[in-house]
Amino acid sequence: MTSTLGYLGRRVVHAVIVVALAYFLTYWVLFALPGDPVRNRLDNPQNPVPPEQTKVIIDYYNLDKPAWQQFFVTLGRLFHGDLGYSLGTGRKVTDLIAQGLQSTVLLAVLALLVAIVVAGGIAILAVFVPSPAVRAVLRAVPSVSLATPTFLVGLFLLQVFSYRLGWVSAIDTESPVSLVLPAITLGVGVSPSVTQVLIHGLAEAKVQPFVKVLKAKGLTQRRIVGRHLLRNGSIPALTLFALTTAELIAGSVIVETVFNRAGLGFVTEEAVRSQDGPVVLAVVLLVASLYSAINLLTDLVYPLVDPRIVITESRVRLRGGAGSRRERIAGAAA
Amino acid sequence: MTPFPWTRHEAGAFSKARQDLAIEIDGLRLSYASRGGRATAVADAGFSVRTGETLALVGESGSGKSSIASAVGGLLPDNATVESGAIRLFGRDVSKLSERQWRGLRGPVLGYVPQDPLGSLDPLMRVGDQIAESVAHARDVDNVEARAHALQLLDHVGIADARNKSRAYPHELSGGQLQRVLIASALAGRPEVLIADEPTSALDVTVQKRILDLLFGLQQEFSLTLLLITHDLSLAGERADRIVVLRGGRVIETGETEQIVGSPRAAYTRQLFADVPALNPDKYARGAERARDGGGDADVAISVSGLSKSFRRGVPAVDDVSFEVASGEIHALVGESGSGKTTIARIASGLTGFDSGSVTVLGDERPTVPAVVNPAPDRLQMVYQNPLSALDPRFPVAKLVGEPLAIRGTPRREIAQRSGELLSAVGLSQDFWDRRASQLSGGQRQRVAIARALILSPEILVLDEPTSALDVTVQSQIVELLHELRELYRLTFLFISHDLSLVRQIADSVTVLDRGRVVESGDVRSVFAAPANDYTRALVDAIPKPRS
Amino acid sequence: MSDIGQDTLVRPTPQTQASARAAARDRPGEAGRSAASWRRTARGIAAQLSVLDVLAAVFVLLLVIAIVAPRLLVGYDPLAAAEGHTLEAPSLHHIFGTDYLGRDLYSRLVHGTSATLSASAVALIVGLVGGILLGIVSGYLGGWVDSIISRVIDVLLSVPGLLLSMVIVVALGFGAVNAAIAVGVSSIASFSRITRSEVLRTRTSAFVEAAQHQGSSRVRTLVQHILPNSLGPVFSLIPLHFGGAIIWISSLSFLGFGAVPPKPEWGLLVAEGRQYLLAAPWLLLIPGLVIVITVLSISRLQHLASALRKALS
Repeated sequence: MTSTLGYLGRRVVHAVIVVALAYFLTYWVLFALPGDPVRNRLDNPQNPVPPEQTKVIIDYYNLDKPAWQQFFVTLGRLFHGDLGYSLGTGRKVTDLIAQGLQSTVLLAVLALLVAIVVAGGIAILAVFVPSPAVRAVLRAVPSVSLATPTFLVGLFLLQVFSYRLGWVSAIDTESPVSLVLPAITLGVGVSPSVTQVLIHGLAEAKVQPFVKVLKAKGLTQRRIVGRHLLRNGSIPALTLFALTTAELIAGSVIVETVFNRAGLGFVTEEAVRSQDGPVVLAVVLLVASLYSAINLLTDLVYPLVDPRIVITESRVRLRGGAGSRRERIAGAAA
Repeated sequence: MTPFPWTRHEAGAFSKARQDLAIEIDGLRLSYASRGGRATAVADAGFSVRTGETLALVGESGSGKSSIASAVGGLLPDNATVESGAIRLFGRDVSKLSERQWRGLRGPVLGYVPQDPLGSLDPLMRVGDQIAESVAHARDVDNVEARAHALQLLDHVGIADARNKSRAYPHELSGGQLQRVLIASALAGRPEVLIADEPTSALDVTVQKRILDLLFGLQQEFSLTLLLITHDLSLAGERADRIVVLRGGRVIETGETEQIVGSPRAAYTRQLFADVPALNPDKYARGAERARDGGGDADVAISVSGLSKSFRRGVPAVDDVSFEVASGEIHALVGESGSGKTTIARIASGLTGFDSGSVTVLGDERPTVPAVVNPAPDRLQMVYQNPLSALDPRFPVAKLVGEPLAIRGTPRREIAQRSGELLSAVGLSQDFWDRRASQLSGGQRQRVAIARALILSPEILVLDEPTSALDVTVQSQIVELLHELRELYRLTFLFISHDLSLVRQIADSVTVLDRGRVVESGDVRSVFAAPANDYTRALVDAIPKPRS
Repeated sequence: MSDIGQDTLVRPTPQTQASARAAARDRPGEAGRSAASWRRTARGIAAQLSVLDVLAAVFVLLLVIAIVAPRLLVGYDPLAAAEGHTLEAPSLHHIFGTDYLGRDLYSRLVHGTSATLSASAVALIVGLVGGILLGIVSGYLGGWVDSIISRVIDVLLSVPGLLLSMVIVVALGFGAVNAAIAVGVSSIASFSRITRSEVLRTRTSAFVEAAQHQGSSRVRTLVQHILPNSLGPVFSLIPLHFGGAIIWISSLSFLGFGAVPPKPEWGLLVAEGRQYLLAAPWLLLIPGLVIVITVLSISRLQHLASALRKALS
């Protein structure tokens, strides 16, 4: 038990380091490289900032002080929960993000469900349908999906279901129905990698020696697939959870733009457009933290799902590894 | 067409019918479809298995024995087709059964014991539950009753502490225990016929004996008909009533075991038996005598003293091991898995470091932490167990063999000449020289590895299970080759093996290892004839002795 | 002591001849190639190809021409606005129709090929070079170097690609070149991970150990054995990543962070077309379709390349 705690501790430290490093690197890229966004923003001829505000902003961001000092001031404010002020709108960053978060989280969760259903459905059919021709076609689906940019899918769905068929209003972005098309777009957008890993996992499971033994026991194909193969084949896909979450948030930038939804993605897009450093930095911090947290969670859940994974000290080992056919297995207690 | 009454109830009525022949194969033709077209796996096979007897299907890889066994159980993969011929179980034709009908047979009539103990169980499910699954299906009982039966079965197959072990996952059990679980699972439905497909080839030799004893004990107890598939002729010779010899999908010979072992009729059968080390222990005996006469005071090629090494704290892989290899002799390190023999070989070769003791090779002491790059490749070379992984997949054969010379900056013409000589010496003609390792068979790859090892003219070869992944015929060819080369170049061999009969055939002296410790050491013939140690005795006893 | 020196010839003895016969009987894995089988190889290659492969190859060829000599394919000036001909549907005069300024869409697409594909190529090269270097260094050296580089890669992974590109674009400013650099940096992480794992796998393999057992120095082993065997799988992923870069670049342009109008670029064309979704849907759908077909063709080429490799080896 202590070794598990030790492992947990190490992983938490690792996650914190990654988030801290992400914040640090992003800060320096945004604020220290030539092309200081604050300066750019202030000097932006298209959207001039009135002089009084300029002074306030310069004071707040300590633009007249050396870079390192600026960094530590910002960091200090971070630990007090103060993420600064948006350069574009002047609002508190925390407010902006909180406002957009709710809508985006809802969208992301729905999209995740869509992705799981789509990926699972295609993968199961692609591996277990009797006809090899159908299987080949289904296996090609993820590649086609990968080749289609998300914005295209969204625009296409908008065109068909909103403008041509009028089933879903294109203007109303508050109602639950308005979530349908964006969720489908986003879900389909993040599903290909999951589909591919699932297909690979299920196909591997299908040719394991124990399948022949299960058949020899007289079990039906349904039971073999449902009770044994699905669990074995979907384990590799667990590792994609964190990555998929990150992709969902990135994808929300595009989807919210296409469907004119106000959410975190929209806020990010606006921030980038107006070179709003503090907001972008805050979003990066949020996403990196979320990714690391989910990664951590996945690492902890994995041994519960797969009993072969053993957590010892700082490493995760695979116990009782399958040997090659001719490898001898010790018969100590035979 | 009359419906096939394969309900479990009616299937159980077989024992009443008690046909004379449990299994009949008649003119069977089987092929597999692959991207390259159709390949015939079984060309024209016919034999029968009498009710209650043990029949061994014997053959090398590609002989079709596994395919026939799968066909009898209806377990052929989707890309296989039974093109013609009949398969009869207790008189009923089963070659065209539907899946549903097969399911009725599996469990109550047919049981199947597979080869790979760890891979043949669902890694995510507890062992007891998997047996209970068989019981529930075969006997049509509910879960609670199935679990109780499963416990009984576990106990019956010799698993101590069945209640706790039934809650274990497959990776927590040893190979022998897993095979017992698989046997229990196969017997769950009280079948009439048991198909055992190489049930012990993945197990250590002492474990093998115990599992086979169990299997045959159960056969007696339940009056089972046993179809045993194996590549191991001596095993078949010891345990089977009748033997069918297969080659290239055809039946070469059938007969009572005593007759096949004692006076085989077909040339192939005779050659097979001639290649089995267990049945030809004195094939290379003259070599041993010559070595003994050759000089009382031979130099010591390798000297190991008090060697110890642990990989994990407190668990020694090698524990105070000492032995000597005289110049010009073949010294074998023998033991089951986990005995440390490979580790010792690697330490002697300078590939792995060690904790304490001393290792001297040709007068030079090995450092405890070896150099990453071998400073003296021309003195000792290692031949690996798996040649496919030891050969760079991108290099053609000629380049592989010549590489040690290229490393030393030898001019290209000389490299080509030397590689050519050595490739001829190991029996690989020029056709093979521009192929890659993946295009060669196992035996050919091992020849390449041997040629490569010899090109710098080393004095010592360390061979780590050089033939354990090869068919018996190929194995004997490689052994023959090694013997020739030893004579030709006056080499010293340190030969690692788990195969005792092979060791008895080829080695001059032997060191027996058990869990990292030296158990016995000495001249091969004396050790085998009169083992001083219990463990050695168990090892020797476990070697199958064919009836004659 | 053995007295076999380098000048001892091996004469085939009767036993070794028997060995040779034995080796020949030993079943080979596949037939080796003899000199007179070129025709067979060509036929073999042709057999592996399908209609899709040919179509993909033709399409890619068109793309190459579009980059190198666009004038060969089009008649209209992509920037020439034509009043009175705005938002025309596809017709004989303008096979893909015209946009809101009367510019011929087909010409704009052809001229936009160079912008999109060259930006994607730059991104790919940045990602490839950076990723492979980092992957080799961390995979081969291990230890604390590996730990540090892996942390950095983890950071790059924790920020999804599009977001990372947007961060870099905020720092560097908008424009096609910066977008290309941004996408490139974002793809360093995945190349690095794959390279690292391949290098690790190869470094610990038996044949590398065997080479060093024969006296091969570390450098020689790295160059002759480790790199060729580990980079192969990485390179085979290039078409896939090239397609991904195309999608990223066009996504950035669609959002307005990449190429600057009025120069044509595929993502930009989609963004422009979006405004006229109701009136002239082809303005959006056709550039979009071109993107999809391009990416599909490139990944199809990967399939073709591996078929060729298999046939030739």
